[in-house]
Amino acid sequence: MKQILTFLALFSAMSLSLAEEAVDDGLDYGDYASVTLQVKSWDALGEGKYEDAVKYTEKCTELYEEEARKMQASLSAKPSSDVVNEYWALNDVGTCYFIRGEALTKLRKYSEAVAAFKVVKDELYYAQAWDPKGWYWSPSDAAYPKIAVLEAKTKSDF
Amino acid sequence: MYRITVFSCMALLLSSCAAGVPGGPGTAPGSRVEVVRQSDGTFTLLRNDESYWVKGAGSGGGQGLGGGSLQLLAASGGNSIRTWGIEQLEQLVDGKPLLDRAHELGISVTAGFWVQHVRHGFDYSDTASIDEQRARLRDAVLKYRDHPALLAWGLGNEMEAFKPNVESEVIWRELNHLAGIVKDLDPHHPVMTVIAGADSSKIAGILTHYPNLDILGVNAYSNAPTVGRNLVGLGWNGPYMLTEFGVGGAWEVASTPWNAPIEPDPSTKAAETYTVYKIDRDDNVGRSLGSYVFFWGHKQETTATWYGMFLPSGEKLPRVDAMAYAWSGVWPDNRAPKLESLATPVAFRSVKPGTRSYAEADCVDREGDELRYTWDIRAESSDRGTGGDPEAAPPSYPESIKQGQGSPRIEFVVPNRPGAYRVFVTAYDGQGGAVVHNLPFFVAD
Repeated sequence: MKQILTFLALFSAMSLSLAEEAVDDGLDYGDYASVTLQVKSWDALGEGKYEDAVKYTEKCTELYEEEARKMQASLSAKPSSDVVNEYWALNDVGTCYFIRGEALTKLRKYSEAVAAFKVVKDELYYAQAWDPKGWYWSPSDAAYPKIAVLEAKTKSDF
Repeated sequence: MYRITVFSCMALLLSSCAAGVPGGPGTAPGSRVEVVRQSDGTFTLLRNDESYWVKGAGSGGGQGLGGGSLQLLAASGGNSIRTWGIEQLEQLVDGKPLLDRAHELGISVTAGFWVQHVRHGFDYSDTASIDEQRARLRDAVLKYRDHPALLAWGLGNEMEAFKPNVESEVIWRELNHLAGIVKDLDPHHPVMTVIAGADSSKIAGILTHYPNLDILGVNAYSNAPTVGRNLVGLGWNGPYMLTEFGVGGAWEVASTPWNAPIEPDPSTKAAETYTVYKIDRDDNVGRSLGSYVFFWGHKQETTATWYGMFLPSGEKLPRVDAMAYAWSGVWPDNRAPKLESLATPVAFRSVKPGTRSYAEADCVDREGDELRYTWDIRAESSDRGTGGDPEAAPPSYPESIKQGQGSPRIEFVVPNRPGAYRVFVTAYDGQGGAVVHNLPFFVAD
């Protein structure tokens, strides 16, 4: 019983803390689930709210990156579709780094965008993202040309 | 050295010309093209015994080159074009049939033969339809096999797409038969078949049922840079070409809440096109035989500007310059203008009918040419095709623009009819170059 109360107290404190932060930056983080934050960052990207998109991704990585890295470290290959959802933190955090790169690109913060893309390409490369059209895709694979494009843009006048 | 497709057979070639087979007396001898497998397992495309790296563009379709310029392709360092249907070879370019004009300019042609799609109603169990398709192919090969501009036969484009695998098996078998027809009639040009992206079931089907295939063509957009690597993982160790690439597909990018794909800005599109070409070339030496950028012309697909590298009026867009830089290593003397920014307060937002707003563009011309601007407010496309099928252009609302047409800034009133729209700006340099971009907005009561 004591353990349950301790857990509830901790959970309550954490929620309160998170709620206070939500008020601070004016964003609605919903239930703070990694998938919620990932979806909200996609939505913000589509609405042209690039700073908000970055904030949602930062919240996601702040809360779940440690777990995501543990999942990445446990893998030796990209998970198959029947178990991919077991790696929820890896998938959401990896996707958030990709979205952050996209949003920072729109904000013309190219060096920061490259840094975000490189995290998913070089460190969270087993992450997979679900496309509502019906398939998984690899944020790592998608980040690879994004980095090259940004580096090309900084070297040549496109 | 293992000759995969064709054999050097000059005697046969000369005897064919002398006999007056298509190509006719007085024409230059036909080309001899082969894919050669080296002892280390890599591949080289040989054209008339010389190594040939394809610096190509998909072109043709619609009228002529669809607004593209064959001469500019050659001047930009390109050396090949790819067509989709055999009838395109008869289209007049600069007053001459496409193949003849291409040959004059030193451009080779992968001649596309349109293999019918199930999704368009073709029935692969209908013997009469199958026979008719085979007969058309025979006619085409006999007619064009000796043309010196011919590089390869492009047997089909995305005919396997959007259909279950059980039907794909039938298609692979038929393609194998069709490729056999080509090889019987024309041993001097390899057969390439183009698929819509690669996955395990497609590659398995091709490896099992399509042994006559010489070159695998892959159309890919966002994942184009990883096609070469992925093909190896899927079991395809043969030669391939990227047969459509450029910018991320409209189905692969972020969308507005009303599902309008957000078109990348022109500089990003140019850099992306350049980068994909370079990555494919540099990461897949000995396996990639070259590539065909999409699309050397004008095409309405999602928007009027997503894939096309030219305006309908013929001006080149920045992606043409990017490919010139990729192919030749130098930028053209006179480049298309550059768009630094495009902004409007209604972008990505839902606004009331009749809302007054403005839009402004910041464009520069590197050579100092004076820029002329046109603005256009159009409905979002409601005629979204599949797999590049033709789409109708959405209606334009010129009456919405109240002030500033022709200048870098306009004032406008959003249309009264609720729905999705885009505001487009085009800047022309008066030297054959232009830049175009758009931003989406939504009108709701």
